[in-house]
Amino acid sequence: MAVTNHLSAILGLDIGGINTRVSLMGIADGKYRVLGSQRTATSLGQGLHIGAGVGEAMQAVQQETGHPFIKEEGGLLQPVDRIGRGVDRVGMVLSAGPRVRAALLGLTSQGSIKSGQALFDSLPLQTSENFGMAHLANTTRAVETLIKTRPDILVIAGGEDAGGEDLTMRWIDIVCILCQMLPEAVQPLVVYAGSPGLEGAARRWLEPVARLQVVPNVQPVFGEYDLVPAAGDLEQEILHKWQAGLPGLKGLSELTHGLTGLSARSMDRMVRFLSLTRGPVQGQPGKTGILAVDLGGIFTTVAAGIGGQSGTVVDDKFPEIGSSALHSASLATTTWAGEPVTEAESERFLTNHALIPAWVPETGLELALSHAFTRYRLQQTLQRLSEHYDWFDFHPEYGLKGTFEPVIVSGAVITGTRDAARVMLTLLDGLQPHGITTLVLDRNNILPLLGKIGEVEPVLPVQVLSSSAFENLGTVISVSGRVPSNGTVITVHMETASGKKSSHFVPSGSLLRLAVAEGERAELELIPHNRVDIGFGGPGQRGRLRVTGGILGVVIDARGRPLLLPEHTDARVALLQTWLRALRAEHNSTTGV
Amino acid sequence: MTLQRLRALPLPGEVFVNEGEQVHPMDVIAEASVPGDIFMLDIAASLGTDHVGAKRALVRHTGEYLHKGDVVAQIPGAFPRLVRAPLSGRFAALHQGNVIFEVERERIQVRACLVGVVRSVIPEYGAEIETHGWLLQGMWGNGRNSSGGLRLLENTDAGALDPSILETVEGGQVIAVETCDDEAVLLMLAERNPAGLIFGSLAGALAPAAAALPVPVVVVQGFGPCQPDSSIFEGLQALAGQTACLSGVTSDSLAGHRPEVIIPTGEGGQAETVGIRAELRPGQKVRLFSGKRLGEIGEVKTLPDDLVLFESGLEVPAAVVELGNGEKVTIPQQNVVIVG
Repeated sequence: MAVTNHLSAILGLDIGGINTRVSLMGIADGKYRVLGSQRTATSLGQGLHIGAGVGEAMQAVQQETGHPFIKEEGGLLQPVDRIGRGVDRVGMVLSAGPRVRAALLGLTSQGSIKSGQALFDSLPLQTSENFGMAHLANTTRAVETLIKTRPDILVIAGGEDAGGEDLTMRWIDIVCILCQMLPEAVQPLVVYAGSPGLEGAARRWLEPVARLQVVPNVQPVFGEYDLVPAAGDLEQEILHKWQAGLPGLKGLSELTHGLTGLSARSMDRMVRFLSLTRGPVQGQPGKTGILAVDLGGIFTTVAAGIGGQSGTVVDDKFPEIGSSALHSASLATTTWAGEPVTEAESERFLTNHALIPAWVPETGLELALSHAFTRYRLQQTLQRLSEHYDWFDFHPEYGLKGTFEPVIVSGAVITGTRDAARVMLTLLDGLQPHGITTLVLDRNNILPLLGKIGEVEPVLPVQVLSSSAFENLGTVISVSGRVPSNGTVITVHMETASGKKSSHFVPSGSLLRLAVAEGERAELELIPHNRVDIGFGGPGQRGRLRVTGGILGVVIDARGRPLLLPEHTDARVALLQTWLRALRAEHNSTTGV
Repeated sequence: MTLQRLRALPLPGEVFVNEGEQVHPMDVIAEASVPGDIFMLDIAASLGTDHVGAKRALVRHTGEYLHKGDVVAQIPGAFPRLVRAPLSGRFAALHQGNVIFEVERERIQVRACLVGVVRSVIPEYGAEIETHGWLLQGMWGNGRNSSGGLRLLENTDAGALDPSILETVEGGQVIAVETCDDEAVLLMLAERNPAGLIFGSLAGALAPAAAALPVPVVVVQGFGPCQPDSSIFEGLQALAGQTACLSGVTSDSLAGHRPEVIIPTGEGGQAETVGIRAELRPGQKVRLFSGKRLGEIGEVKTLPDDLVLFESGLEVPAAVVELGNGEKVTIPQQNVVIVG
């Protein structure tokens, strides 16, 4: 009989741009659990060492758990000794570095450029422009422009598996010239991710003059992506750059023996894995996806997966100061604030917040502005993901179509806010989900770590995901379709495991929170208006649903899609506050008869 | 205050200074170069041969500098065929029958942007410069550096700038203004060709215009209406006429970079590093970035051991800060910036 040696204690390091988290994972009651987790400020900046913040958080975890793993003279006790001290492995995920300069060389905007852009957007890369077929018209100019761009990474895409090689060969030519021209210190990594028919030519021409990686075509067939292999190589290059530039990171990476990755890539891996395990949600036809959102201090990261395919976008948290995007963000922040603020006040809030990314809201108004901006961040990043993947359909005007269940959310702006109703409203407004989903809070930002540690201990993510490390904020049932302007749009008959029965007649345009205690099971009978869709297969389709209560029980979102906000400030503020109050009030007896 | 600042190239190059050497703001500390414009000469086509034939026909080697008219390649014989360089440049590479000439190189320089002494040299990259001076760290910069004689312009009681004062601004001066919320004024100031502009606060809407200006801009307190910080302008007033060195780098919390103004005073003092993420300690002067006292300056009195619950519902580490009027306020530690 084969004996499996499981790791008994694993230390997870998550280093973000603002916060560093250290989590100790080990076995409790026969299953992997998060035994302790602590957060400190990331020690990055002039004269600082990244290990300082990590060390502080490690000490705090050791104190919290009583599990000794730090040697008296410093360093880690590895592996776990006979009396259970120490850790077997250390895993680390990072989102704390600057974007790395990269250039994408492809052919058409709807083909290789689109797939390459999806690849670039999934990573902390910075591009000044994409190079397409038009740039091939003048080789000299293309080489000169690339020299000026001085990318650290060059990706050659173009041509499908079935052909399209002539023009891609021109890019190989150009890169060959470029690499002969550049001094060694600024030679980029060249990743060939184009037509496989040219792999030999790429090796022949580029290997003598460049650091070359050849990966499978990012677009094997028009409209289909294969980004994972290329993303893996780019991830390594980004980590290499960060290790060279961030004091202390190299030493920390050595502790992990290769188990270091980018947070975004590890999130992507987790949602891809989880999406393979998802069957249809009760009564809801079609594939069920998984959505993970990290509202970090520097980046907003969204990863979605469905049926084993995944897509990720890493967006900057703040638009550039003075940009038109910042103006749009100010406008959206004003709209969603739920407080009477002017656009100038919102702009001032955003510009000053952007100057101090670690800033936290002190007053109620600042919290409202912060959550209003969070809605905008969510919408922008989801929309960007939607532009890349046909299977992911989001637009701020109609919300997130399809079934994504659960939606896992991390980031201090959400998990650090005590008012669960405000958190729920922010997420509902930002995501505007359709049908039935569950919102889950990842308070310790464990998900990316699970993706990384799962590489060496595959059972750990499965067991930790079902533990209390992830908090159920609440199941949400959202109505969409031609929602009537008044009257009942959905009737809910509910029976909890404790035997309480209630009926709720939910009026159009409202939010209703049903009282199901956290962790308690309940069965719902959902009867929508005949023009209303709640995800059971079309308008008017009714069904039964078994749920487990979250922090906010179960929420019925009968506001319809799109969410319509009054233009007049007073009316808009009043409506947003009505919605917030509705989520703060729970209903455990029959309502709205 | 004794200050050390690193001046380094992003890629290896040549360092022009030595340890102990005195430097001035415009002195080039180090220089590197990358190819600029290139020119491709298709000698295979010119000689009517293929790539292999072109390679055989070459009479010059990669790395050589060629003058306009020099023979690059030739096929000898009774009727020899020649290809001459159409312009001067370095023979950088031969690719597929094309000779690639590097016509120009783009120079990347790093200047001292300070009056000081070279403390140490970092071979191939640059040097660390030490200076004694008055330091003012800002919140935002437009990425440019310069230096010039410092001059303060006073706002009117309504916060505006008198146009007649603008006309007296001379080229090469570093102009400090408490606040500006008028784009026309900002552009008029820039038209006077100052060496740099320092604003206490700037209207948020002016950020795009400030970012695009060819002169360095440093915003000290932040964007939007802020109560002017008298300590900044009293400090500057005392140093009016002296050389102010502006480093308008973009704020980068990961790298700990902040835009700053250094006015060399020639006086010694204790070395001090002031950064966004420097450790907060009682006695430090800080600027508040939240709450009702946003933008004000005060002194950290205590750092409570326990987390403090704020009106927002967040329970975070706090600092008790005493403002200029004696009032004490409690603020999240993350929302203060150390200014001295």
